[in-house]
Amino acid sequence: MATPRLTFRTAILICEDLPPDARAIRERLTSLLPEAIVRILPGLCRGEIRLTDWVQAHPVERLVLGLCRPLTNPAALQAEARKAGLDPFGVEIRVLGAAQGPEGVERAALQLTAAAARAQKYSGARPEQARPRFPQGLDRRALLHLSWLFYETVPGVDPERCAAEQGCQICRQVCPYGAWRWMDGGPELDKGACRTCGLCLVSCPRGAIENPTWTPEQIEAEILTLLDPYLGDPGPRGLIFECRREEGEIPDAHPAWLKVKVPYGGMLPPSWLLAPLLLGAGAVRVRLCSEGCPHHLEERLRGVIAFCQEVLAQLDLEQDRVDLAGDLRPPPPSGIGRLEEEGLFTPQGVARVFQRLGEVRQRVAWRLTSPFAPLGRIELDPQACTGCARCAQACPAGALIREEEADLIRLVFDPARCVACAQCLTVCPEQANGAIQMAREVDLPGLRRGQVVLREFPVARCLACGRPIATRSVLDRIEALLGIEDAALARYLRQYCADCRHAFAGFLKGG
Amino acid sequence: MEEAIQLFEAAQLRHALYRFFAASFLYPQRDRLEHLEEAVEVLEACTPWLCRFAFYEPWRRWAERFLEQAEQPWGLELAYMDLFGLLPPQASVYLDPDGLMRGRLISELEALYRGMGLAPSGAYPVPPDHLAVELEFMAFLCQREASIWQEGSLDLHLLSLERSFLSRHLRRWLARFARDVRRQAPDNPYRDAVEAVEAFVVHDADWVAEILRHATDGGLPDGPARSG
Repeated sequence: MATPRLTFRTAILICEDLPPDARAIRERLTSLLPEAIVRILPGLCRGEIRLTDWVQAHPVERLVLGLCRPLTNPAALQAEARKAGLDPFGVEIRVLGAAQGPEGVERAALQLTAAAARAQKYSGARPEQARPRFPQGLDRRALLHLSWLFYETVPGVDPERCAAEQGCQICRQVCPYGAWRWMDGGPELDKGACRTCGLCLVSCPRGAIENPTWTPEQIEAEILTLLDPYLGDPGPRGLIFECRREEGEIPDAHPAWLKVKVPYGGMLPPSWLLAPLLLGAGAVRVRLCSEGCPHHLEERLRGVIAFCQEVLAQLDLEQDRVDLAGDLRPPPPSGIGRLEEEGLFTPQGVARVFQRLGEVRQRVAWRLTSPFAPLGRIELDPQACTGCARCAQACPAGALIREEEADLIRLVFDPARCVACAQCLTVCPEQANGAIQMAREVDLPGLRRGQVVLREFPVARCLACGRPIATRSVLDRIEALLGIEDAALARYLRQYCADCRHAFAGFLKGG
Repeated sequence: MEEAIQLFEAAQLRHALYRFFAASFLYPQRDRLEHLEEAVEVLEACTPWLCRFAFYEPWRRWAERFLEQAEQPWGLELAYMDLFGLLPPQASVYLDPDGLMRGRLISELEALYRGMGLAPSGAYPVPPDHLAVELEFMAFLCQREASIWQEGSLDLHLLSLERSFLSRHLRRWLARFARDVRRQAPDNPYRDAVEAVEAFVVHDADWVAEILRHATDGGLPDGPARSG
């Protein structure tokens, strides 16, 4: 990939005061993104530009602002964008650091190119995904001043993809703030409680929870561009995931470290920390904001990093390639190579990250069990499991599949899809007997094998209508539980389905 | 127009928007269309305020579409019958526990309206769960809220009523209704109206919640002299 393709008409506006040299950055951007409009505007950071007039003169669909300092009133920019007919959430803002010389120009141009690539992946926000906010510290009079009315995006649910009907409540279970509540059988966000930590986004196995400004596709587009060897300085690069609340430059950081914002450092899943190594990063760091992550999120992150380091050890790589941002010396050159692969940051890409790492490093025979492993392995106890398939009905990830063929019901397990949510354990009626066991682990041989048949169960069919009654094991279990002494009744239950038994009962009643 | 807005002015603006949207979902008779055109002009004059809100873009889209369509009223009439004949804009379709069009939900709404001193009018035979009626009810609450702010007092009960009506009624079914409209009538001009009202109602629920949060925290002005 040499230059990102722009699917929307895009403009990049650069503040005139931008160090080291706004004109040189513009020249470089024009060569990197020939389709984009690139302009230098004086006073952009001071909010002196009437963006409405500018956009009306240059109709664009996506906007990237390269600033020398954070905007004092981002709400005003949102209103200007709205008036200009632009979606304010589609505007990407980058506050660029004061790097010197040609390297600084190259770096600033790379960051703005990555922001433009990210902007292409913005696909709009639904009304429920915006939340009005007044800045903290305002007095009672300022509360009413609309120029400070600011909107931020919050997660929303795509009902088409949500597995709430199957009983999935993963978003509610993982939310540290109790912001997801159940309404009309599905999740609804309490916007007042949500802190947009992003944990629900990366935990939903179907990607049904979306925050329109923090989608995996947007983050991936930015990372792919930042790590593109054809853009920017050809030397080794490192990637820093940085909490969105952190504004300042990292002191003494080597310029080869490139930053990508995420909602909270503590939300990062292992696959997001490891995937950049496949895309060309020599190392990955996480920078938490000065406030730190509340609740258990920081502790969670440390566990996730430790898990990633164990994975790196299995791959014969230095463990400090994934770590918290501490000493930011030059990153090591990529020891893994660079794959041209998309979709590694989506829920479906989790297993692929581990598989690709194993393949590239030629270490494919390891298995790692950890409470922070993002995948799971399911096993059935043939003595206790009756094949009722409640687990397959409840599995929100589609990892447990019920297949029917002739007089058999088959339970199939797909290890690449299992997210170890334990929903199958919750619904299993034979759980007390240990019918189903789950381990949180990444099992590369298992992933390589792909789907496996866990067990097949013979089905009893109705003598009257021929439809399946249940598996024979279920009927055995019912018989054992009821302790039926009457052999004729037991036979009756085994021979006819519930519908036919009801029909017979009605016939008998009717005389 | 200054960008500082006092609470009573915000409530008046919301009142005007609710009334505009309510009228948008009634049958497009000629005289009603004329009133709506006037309302669009008045609201457009509030653009410096309106563009501060997240619902501005869908609102503007519907206002422009409406002005364009109002020149051919028969086209709007056809679109109205096409869409709302297929998908009645009524809460019972989505919320009645027994799936009845004149079920428990209607009784609940009638009791709610009665509780606020409102009685059904024979002149407009529109069911109480119709989108236009629910929007009119919100307009009524906003008008009352505006006069209370103007007196310099604070009515937490009224604000709570607004919040609960939005969360338990309007907001609860409007998203599903809008989804059906998008799916089944993507080219109907009323799609813009439905999207605009959805954006406005969702925003208004958040707005009321935010005001209520500040009010309960004691962070709101106690008189018009201090607000603005």
